[in-house]
Amino acid sequence: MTPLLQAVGLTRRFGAGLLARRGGVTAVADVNLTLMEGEAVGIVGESGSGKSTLGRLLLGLIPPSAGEVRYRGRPLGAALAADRRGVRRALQIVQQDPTAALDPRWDVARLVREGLDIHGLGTPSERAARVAGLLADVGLDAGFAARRAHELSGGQKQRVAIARALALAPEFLFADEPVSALDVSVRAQVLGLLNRLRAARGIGLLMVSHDIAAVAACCERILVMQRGRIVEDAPRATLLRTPLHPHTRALLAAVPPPPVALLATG
Amino acid sequence: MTPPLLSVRGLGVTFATPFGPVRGLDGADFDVAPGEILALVGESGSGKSVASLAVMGVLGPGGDGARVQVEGSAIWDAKVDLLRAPHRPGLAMVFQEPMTALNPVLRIGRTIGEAVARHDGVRGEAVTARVTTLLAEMGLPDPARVARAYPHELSGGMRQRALIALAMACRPRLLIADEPTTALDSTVQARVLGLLAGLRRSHGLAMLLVTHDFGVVAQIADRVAVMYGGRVVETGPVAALLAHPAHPYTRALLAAVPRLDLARGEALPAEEMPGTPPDPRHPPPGCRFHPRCAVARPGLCDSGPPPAPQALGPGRAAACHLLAA
Repeated sequence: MTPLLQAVGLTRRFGAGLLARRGGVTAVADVNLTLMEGEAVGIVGESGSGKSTLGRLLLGLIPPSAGEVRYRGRPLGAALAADRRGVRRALQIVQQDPTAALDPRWDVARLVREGLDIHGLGTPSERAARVAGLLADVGLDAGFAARRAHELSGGQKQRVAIARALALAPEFLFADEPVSALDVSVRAQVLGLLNRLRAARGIGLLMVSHDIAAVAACCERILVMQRGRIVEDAPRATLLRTPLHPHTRALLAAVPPPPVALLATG
Repeated sequence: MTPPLLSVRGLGVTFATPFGPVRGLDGADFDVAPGEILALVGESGSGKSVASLAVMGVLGPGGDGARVQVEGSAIWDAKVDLLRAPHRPGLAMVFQEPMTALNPVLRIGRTIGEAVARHDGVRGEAVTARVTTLLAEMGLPDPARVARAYPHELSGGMRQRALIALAMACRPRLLIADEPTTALDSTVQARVLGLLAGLRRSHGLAMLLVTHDFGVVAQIADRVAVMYGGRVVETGPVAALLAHPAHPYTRALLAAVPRLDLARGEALPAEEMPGTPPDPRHPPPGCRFHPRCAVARPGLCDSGPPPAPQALGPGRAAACHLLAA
């Protein structure tokens, strides 16, 4: 495996406006991290720990205050300057709130097709076929193509958002709290869908969540963030069985045990 | 058996909407014993929040033939408007989002002081003293400082504790809490749940806890009522219900909770429950769960509403065609 994305001394401060009086906030502090091709990595941490900011930095959606992001070994800024469309195609995002992520005026077919149109991929009829295929891949039947976001449930909207992200055959998906807004039964559907799509396409995944169980259902490696720093980075099983950092232990202790397991063991 | 503190029978709520009348709650039955924590569990649209609001009386008397009793006496019926009744019989409510439940332009002490003054009929120093005691009881350090603070000056966890103090100012026998920890980080959630468990121990407080999170249920509740499509589909003691769920919906919902104690490949169910919770505007015919049910029988489950809950053992019951067949 080759490194896909790397963070080197990555730091992001937010200091303007209201926060300036308090000396600003360092959301991400000196993070060093390597994400391999096709790797599924989760970040857990409490609100304000910097996990979403780290993801946005890795995608180049916001610039770092210090340090840098490398995409396939070269600085992300330079890679974007040389081939903005190519890099944007490779690095896609699924946001927490699918309602805010989908333009309410567009039907599902147009929403999913937008990336193909922008990148000029295929003929119009090929694009239509590709959209139909993507909808099938995310478990939506053809009847959804003509619907608008307000006619969809939360889980269906998130499926559309995933289809949009996959339309450009990305190498890497940043999923920012992808199931937090969803019901328990729908959450399991979307997590299962992400697992199957990832396995079929070999896409790298960075999933951010405050819910360790959601992250652990999709990721083989888990990072724990606290106050902008990665305080633990371990394979899933190791982190869950033998957490080393006190904050990891606190987070795990606060997760109510899975009800069924709780009763099975004691 | 001790008589229930709260007894709810046939509670229904209909909302007038632009799409016509929508039945948000369709005849719910449940009891809460003195000092007991009953969790109302369900997904969106299940009616769990509507049930809690209806019991509290904030939706107005909306039940058709419903009976809601506290210690055997009706707290409201079709003829009594609870909001104008002289006092609420020992009920207080904690809402999910403390930032919207607290008045942003009033200091915490003023908000809680209002409830204290009204409830205890005291003024001046006595109010301040009681507010400070309440805030201290909620585990807030430096309660005098918190009383002087505005809601925006407190963290989410502190605001939620202040909101619980506000509810406790009414000296309730039954606390109704609607997703009290959903907006909080997991470590803060654990501490607030610890506080609620402590209040139950020290005050013998009963609770009606509304949640979608089985983790919260396992941690704090004594009994569970699982709701789906505006109805209670299964009730039982927590341990028995979680270990041996009887209703197909309860089974599928429990299976949908990702497992941390298993390998990644096994953390999610092999067969996901399809579909989404029903839209209350267009509830499916028959059993409301049948379109998503793995074991539904055509001709039976889609034909009529399920029978009244079948008793399944001590304190356990479920409403399912297949259990009655």
